[in-house]
Amino acid sequence: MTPAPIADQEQRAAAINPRRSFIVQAPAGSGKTELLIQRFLALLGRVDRPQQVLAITFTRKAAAEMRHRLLSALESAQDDTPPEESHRLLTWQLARQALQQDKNLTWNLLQNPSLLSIQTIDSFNASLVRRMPWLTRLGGVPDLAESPEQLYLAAAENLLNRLGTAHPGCDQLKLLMAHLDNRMDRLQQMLVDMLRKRDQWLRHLVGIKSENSRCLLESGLKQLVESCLAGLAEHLPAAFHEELLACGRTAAANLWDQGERPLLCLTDLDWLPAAAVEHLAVWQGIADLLLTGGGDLRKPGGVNVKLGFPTSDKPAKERMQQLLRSLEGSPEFVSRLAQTRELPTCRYGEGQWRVLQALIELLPLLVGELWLVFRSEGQADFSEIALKAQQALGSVDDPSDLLLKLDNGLQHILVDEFQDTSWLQYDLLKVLTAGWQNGDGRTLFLVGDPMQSIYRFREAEVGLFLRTFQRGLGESGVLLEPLRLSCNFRSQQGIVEWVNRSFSAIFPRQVDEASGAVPVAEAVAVREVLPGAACCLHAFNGRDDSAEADRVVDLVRRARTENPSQRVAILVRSRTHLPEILHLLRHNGLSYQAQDIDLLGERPAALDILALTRALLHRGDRLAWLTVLRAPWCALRLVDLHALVDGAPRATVPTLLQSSDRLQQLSEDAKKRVGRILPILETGMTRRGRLPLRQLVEACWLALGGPACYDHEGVEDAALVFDLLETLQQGGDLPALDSLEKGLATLFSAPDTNADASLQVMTIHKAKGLEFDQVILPGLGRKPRSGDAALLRWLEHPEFGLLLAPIAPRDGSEQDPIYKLIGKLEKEKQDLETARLLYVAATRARNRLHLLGSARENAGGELKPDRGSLLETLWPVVEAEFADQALACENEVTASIVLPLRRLPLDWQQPELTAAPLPKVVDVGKASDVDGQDEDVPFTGWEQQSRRHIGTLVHALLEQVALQGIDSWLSRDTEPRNSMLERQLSALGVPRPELPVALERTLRAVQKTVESQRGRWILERHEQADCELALSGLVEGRVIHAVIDRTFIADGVRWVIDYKTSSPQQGETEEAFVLREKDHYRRQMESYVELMRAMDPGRVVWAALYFPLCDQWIEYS
Amino acid sequence: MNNVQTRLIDAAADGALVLTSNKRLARYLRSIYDREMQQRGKCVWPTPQIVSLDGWLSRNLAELGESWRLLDGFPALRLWEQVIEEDAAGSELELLQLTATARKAQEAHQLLVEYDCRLDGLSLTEDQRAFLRWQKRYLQRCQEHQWLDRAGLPGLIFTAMRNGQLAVPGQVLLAGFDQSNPALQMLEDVIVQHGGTVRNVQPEVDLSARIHRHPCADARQEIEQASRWARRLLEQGAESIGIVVPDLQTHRSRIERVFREQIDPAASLSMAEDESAFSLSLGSPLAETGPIHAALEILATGFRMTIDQASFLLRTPYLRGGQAESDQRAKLDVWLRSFRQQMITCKRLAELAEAEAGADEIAKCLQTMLEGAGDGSRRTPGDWAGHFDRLLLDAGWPGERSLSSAEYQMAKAWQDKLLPALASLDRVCRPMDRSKALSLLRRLAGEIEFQLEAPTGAVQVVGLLESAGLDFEHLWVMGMGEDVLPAPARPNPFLPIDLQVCNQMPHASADRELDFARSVIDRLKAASPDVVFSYPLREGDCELRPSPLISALDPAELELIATHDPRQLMRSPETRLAEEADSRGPALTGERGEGGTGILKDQALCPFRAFVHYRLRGHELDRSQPGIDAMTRGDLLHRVLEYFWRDVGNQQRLLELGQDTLTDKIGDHVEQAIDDIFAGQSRPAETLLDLEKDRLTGLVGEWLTDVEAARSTFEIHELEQEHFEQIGPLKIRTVIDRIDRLVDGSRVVLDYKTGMSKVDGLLGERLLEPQLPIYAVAASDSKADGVAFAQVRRGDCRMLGIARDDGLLPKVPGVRNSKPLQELGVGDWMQLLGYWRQQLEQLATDFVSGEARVDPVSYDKACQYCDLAGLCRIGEARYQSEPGEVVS
Ligand code: SF4
Repeated sequence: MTPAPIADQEQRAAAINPRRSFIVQAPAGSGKTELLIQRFLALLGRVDRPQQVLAITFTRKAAAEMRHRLLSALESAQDDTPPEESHRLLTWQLARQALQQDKNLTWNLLQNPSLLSIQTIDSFNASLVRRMPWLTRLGGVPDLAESPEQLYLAAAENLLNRLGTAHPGCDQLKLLMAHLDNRMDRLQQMLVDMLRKRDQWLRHLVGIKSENSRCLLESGLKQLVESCLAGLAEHLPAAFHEELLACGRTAAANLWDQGERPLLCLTDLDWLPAAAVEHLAVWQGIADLLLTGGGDLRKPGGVNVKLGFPTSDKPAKERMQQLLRSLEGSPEFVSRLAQTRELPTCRYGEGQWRVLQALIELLPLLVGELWLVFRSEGQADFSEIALKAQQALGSVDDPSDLLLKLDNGLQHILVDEFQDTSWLQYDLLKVLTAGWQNGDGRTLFLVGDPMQSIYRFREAEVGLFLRTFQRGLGESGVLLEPLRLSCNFRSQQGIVEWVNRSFSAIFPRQVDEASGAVPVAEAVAVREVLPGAACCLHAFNGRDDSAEADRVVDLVRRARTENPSQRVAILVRSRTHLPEILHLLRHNGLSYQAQDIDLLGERPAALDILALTRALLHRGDRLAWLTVLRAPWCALRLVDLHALVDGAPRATVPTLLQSSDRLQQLSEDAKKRVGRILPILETGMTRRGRLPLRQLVEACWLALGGPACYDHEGVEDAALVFDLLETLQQGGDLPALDSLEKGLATLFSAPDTNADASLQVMTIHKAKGLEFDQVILPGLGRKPRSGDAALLRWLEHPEFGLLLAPIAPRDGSEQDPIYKLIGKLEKEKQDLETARLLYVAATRARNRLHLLGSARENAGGELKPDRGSLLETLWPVVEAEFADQALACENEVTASIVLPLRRLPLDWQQPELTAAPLPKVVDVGKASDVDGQDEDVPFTGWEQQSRRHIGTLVHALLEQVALQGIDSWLSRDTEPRNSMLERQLSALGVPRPELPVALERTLRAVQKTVESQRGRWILERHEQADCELALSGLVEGRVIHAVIDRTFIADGVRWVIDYKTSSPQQGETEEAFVLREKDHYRRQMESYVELMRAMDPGRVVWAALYFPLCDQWIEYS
Repeated sequence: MNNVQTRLIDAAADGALVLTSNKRLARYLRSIYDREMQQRGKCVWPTPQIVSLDGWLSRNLAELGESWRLLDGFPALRLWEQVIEEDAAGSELELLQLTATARKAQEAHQLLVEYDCRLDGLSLTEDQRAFLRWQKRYLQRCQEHQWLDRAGLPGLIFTAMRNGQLAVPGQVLLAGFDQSNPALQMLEDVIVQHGGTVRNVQPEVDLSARIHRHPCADARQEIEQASRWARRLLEQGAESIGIVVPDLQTHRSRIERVFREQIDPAASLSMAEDESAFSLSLGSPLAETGPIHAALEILATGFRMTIDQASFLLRTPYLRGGQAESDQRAKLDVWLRSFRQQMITCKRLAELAEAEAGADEIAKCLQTMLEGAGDGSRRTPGDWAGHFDRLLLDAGWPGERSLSSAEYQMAKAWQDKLLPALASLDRVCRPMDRSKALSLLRRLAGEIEFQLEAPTGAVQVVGLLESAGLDFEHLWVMGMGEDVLPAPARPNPFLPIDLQVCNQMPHASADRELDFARSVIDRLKAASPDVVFSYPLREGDCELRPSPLISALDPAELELIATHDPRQLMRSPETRLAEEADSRGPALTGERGEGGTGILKDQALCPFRAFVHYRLRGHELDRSQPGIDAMTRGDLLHRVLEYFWRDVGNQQRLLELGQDTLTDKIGDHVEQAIDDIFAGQSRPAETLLDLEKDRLTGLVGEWLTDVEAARSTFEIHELEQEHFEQIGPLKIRTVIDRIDRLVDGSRVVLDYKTGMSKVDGLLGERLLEPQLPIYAVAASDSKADGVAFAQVRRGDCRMLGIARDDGLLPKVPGVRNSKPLQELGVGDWMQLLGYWRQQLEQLATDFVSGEARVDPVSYDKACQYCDLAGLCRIGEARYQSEPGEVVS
């Protein structure tokens, strides 16, 4: 059966043409991954080396998935029977071709899958850095900082520490501190925020350091303002020009002595203002004339003497009223006119410029500090890697060597999720494809859906997609053929239609690169319509989280009854919209999987471990100790806690716990409980430092019975906390007492793996790329948290270049219009993104979509959604239905909670823990460790080390002398010999200042030996003589490895001699010394003797120590 | 013993030289040899010649009498670093990772020497040209000092053998070399030329061996299953179990922990590592061990330190008096934190310690450290090593606890390994200042591995390379994911790729990696008659595939023993926790509540909070803030305004002051306030104080001119006066910021606020701001006609509050015009007072009775800013699955 061709068949077929470059708009559910795979396969079938094709994905997950699917396709193409479904058939055919190429060119792809380059942009950057350790100055790919925030913070702190020094930046810091009301904490936070986003502004700052920067910035602003004015002028209907000027003149003439106001600019005006900054004041005068303070068009009734139209001059007044009435037909003009009031004059005020300049000078220093922090930690963040990779790669005009080399290798690039490209990535792509020509065999393939661009907070710039779609990549880059997919394989027709309809009302009509305005691209459903409403609205009047949560639970239940196997998702804009819902789900026994929803730092199990850690680390942390005593494993009642600490506000809790008087005050129950846990805690405190902190705390927690105190999830949480503790710990302590707490605030608890996967809870961002049978969107009426004001606002405008403004001083004065203007442009972008977020949420649904939200009645009794909420975005679509449906809600009542004290029963016991049987291990020793630990008394000073090195060298020299004869020593020139010995000592590790002494000692040892009669005898030629003889054998049942310094047979006796380079300690007599040493080495020498006897059975073996430094000889008999 | 080993042992017994790929294998073969000799009934035997190739080369060098020439390990690396540093000097950015770069450069150099290649005439990238510069400089330095590096060693030794300077071994066996390399090639040439033999002994797969693959959900599960598999084998009497982990570094601690939990679960509760019979002793950087970390921290103490550094010194057991003075030191720490500053000078800290009773030792230690920090001389690293060691001794390191055997070994490693490593840098370093030496020391401590001494046990965990040549009864190879074997190619960035590929250098290309991977897998398959290759199916949210080299194996059917993880055992059967209501502490005895108006404020927000804060005296430790913290800034402002009004007294005089006099006056009071506030603690940097002075002067000026001067006439009635108020059963001490008397005799109570204030807390259903009402309703002689927050805030100075009538205070409405009060049904001032009184008395009664319900007004108002979330367990309300039964 051949299915009917789908709507966008042609586009799809074109997209896999390996000779042409494309940019593809692929809306939700259009199956773009399959398309990417097909193209990748098609390219593989043509290239010389598989690495010539590079695919860039947005996430690691996507990369893994793509690799997986590619390899599966290749594997199944080994099978000779083609699949039946048509789209699979195509994939199969392409994979066959790729396999053929693999075989022809012996790539061995299936054995060597790393040949497929499918990477995230981050890993691609890393691979560039790996090849340019020097040029990037990174010295290789650094470890990625687990919490870059900490490093930003350290950099900000270091910068702030320059205050009060003579270092550069100090004056700028002073200026900023004063500007911000001396709030160093604020400044620090702002600096941290700036660092987080430095990949966005850094390149701008480099460009504007110079003198003329002010001009440059102001001219950008000027252009922006003038473009606004131009738009305004365009919308002023020509018919009113004369009227407007006339009314303006009248009003101005009547009001000239009534005090300063904008419309006075209109005095005697007989020409219309142009779209020029110089005329801004005139436009503002017109606004003053026509608009109310709130920005609405004046009502004809409001034309009065205050506006310069006294009743006495009736014709003028009527003229004005007439003008106002006619303007009612030009709302666009009115709203643009209102905006002119806020427009800046395009000149920075002096104070503002000083601050901006200070920032421009300071921020590079901040980045420098960050580099130093990265350096000392040996870590960096993604941005650093990207920035440096790109810098090193060079630019389109000034490419690096590597780029040229890469260039030969890279033939085809595929980029997924192109709508979420940032400026940095865009530039990278431009550089990579610089010089590519259409038809030269190299191709670029960009896929994405601008309607789903929702990563602005990660610098995604949807305007770049729009620009590329219209104009190709860069000015001289490859031309890209635009393609549009329209089929939706995911959602049933009902949903597709609802989405088409709704979003044509919600999305803007016109493409606008600057604000990222994306009009809707309507989809064609492949799946047929399902019975019943595809999309249901659940409207609430007034915010009532629990009513909404009730409804959610209800919907989940209904979905379950309808079809227990269907996959349901609850998607929210922010995880903070969830507590009520999750609580109710649990309460109703509905299990769910929640990803990145619950903060670990809010979970009781985590907090207990936090307290335990702090208690073990700090005796004086009273709160931590109280918490440990109150946690389920001990769970003292308030009365007992009180009895323990009452009247002793300064005492530390461990001290109180050790006081028997105090303990006497406790109830019997408490005595037993404290009695159980106290020994554990005491052990924990005394073992501090000996074990890694994690191990210490975890052992303590286990010993306390921690796992018995929580449910399955609690134990999972605990595991995460311990893992975190492990990454933080430093030598049995924490870098700062609150570091664990801070870490917990950034981690989420793990999804409950036992839970039913058919109900998922997550944020809309997380749901991108997923699909569910039913999607429930609660909390649409909630507004997002507003962010803090940034130290610097910047905006890269596609036409006017960089716009910059510093924050206003913290002295309550007016916000600066430039700062405000940029803020407004940002907000515009944000609002458009909010609409796209809604689109993403809605298009996750396969079968059904539920919208839940609340609006509020305004003073006039009308229902209005909160500003900034998703509902506000949706409002044009649902307004009518909403009012009909909305249920009035009771004012929120917070029910009192009763929180019982949960206690581990007193009779709880540790389970029996048995060790596995372990086979006995045989220990192999050196002969010298027989004596164990106290061989040297340690920690008496480090000089011992040099002695040891001297010993080593003396041994070697004596061996040489024994082998080469005494003359070999005596005959050498002392000068070169000594310098050689010095080098040897140095190579052994004797510190330079100690060299002379060490050399002297070494020489003395050898010299004494060769001069002494005993020494000569030892070193002389003997029967069966050996130096450094390595023997192994059994002594007292243990295997011993011995190295015997010198052995020989003299007069029928086998001598075993060990050299010792020690000498009497200060004040010690030689006799005492000899006795001490003899005793000390007795066991060692005995074992040598034993080995030797076994080696040379029947011979008399004698052992002796020889002390070259003092020519002492000790015989063991 | 397998047949490979038999061959090796027999040959060694015949006097053949056995060269291994690494030390571990040499040690392992020697131990097998020893065992074999014992089995043959011998009591003594010559130690066999089984050495690692590197060891053997060094030994030969020593024989030539030239071992001093060898520049190896840290000094060699340091030399590379130095030449790179010198080359980079003057460039805009210092290298982020000097050491990593030096390592790569060293590796490139080694490759060039080993493969006898030259870069001349090749087209190079900028990185490669840089390398060429470094190498030149490096070789120059080596030549100057006649140094020889590892790369040059084989050449030298083999030449010496050719020349007859060194004896050429006759019979050589190679063990554990996965692949041949140029050095081995050279070795073979020399030996064969001299009539000897070289055999590379490779294990062969036993056809009867059971070899399987085993998918696991993720890396965590792999470890867990491997440990249970091992336990089961141990229980069946297995004596040698191998676990091979490619990425051992990353998983080391988890493996160690999980295996301990499964094999000797009681040990994971014991808090004493050295007591367990089971140990893997996988080692970790020396710097991470307690004593060494403490030593480095002690040495790093400078003139100024952060509170966290100070706290570490006060809490560490590794300083003299760390035990005996622990309680006093902990209290000192708490006090220090109460300054809420981020830094303190060492000197000041020592002074504070001296003043504190029972903290003499720490004061002395700090003095010692301060002296150490002041040493401005330049010395060689070895010289510094001696100084560092002496300073530690003077400070009583490693403390007065008796050392555990692990600690003993750590402290010994300090002297036996770390300091010598530092001294070894004397060969390549010039004298340097203290901080540079310290950073070198720190780095070495981070790189030197510390391993607890323990005999090789039945379970051995090794990395992929170290596993070469080892042999086990059972073997589990983990982490065989797709990109592990074969790994992606990683050519050295400093050499042209083509050169590397042509010469077949390691990691040069995917083909090379595939070859290597194949030989490794083959050797692993031969390392045991029972092999499991496991791999994770996912990592985070990514799906993973197995290595293509094992994916064709049959899946294993593993029998895993039931878990012995104490966590699991403690949870089965699940313990039912008893639940009981416990929301009341003992009643207050006596009527004085310590803590002032805060008591009632907390009681209103959440009764539990008041109980803990004011009855148990439990608070979190103060947190430091950058600059001058908000609370201190508030105190300063209060102080300045108090001094000012004490001086000026009424509005009339304020108005009479000229602008200049006013500013001067304010300035004087600001100076005074700053001096007074920071007297007893630690004075912040003067620059900060200067900024703060300017700010305060401006702010107070703004407040006085904009608000005080512009309101209706008043004089100060009371300033910062202490009162004792009886509220129901409770007597509370309060300090009122200020009471003004207006011309008509009415009095208004003012409370300074520096943040955004709201009147809601005064006029709402729950009285969240009780301090003003307390005074207003007090039965004492006072009478108040209005209360207000005086919000002293830059650009937003004003009064917010409520008064008997309009107009008493600027923009403060009278009761009758207050919307919220109308909603509450309060019509006039007297009613408001009555309403307040009733609320206050209720709160007071609750507090006195010990009422301590966990009952916050709302999360946003109460819990968000509360330090007690851990103690009150409010989280349980949210995360408990089912409502618990409550037993009273
Ligand atoms: S966290 Fe909330 S519930 Fe707990 S004590 Fe504080 S205010 Fe009360």
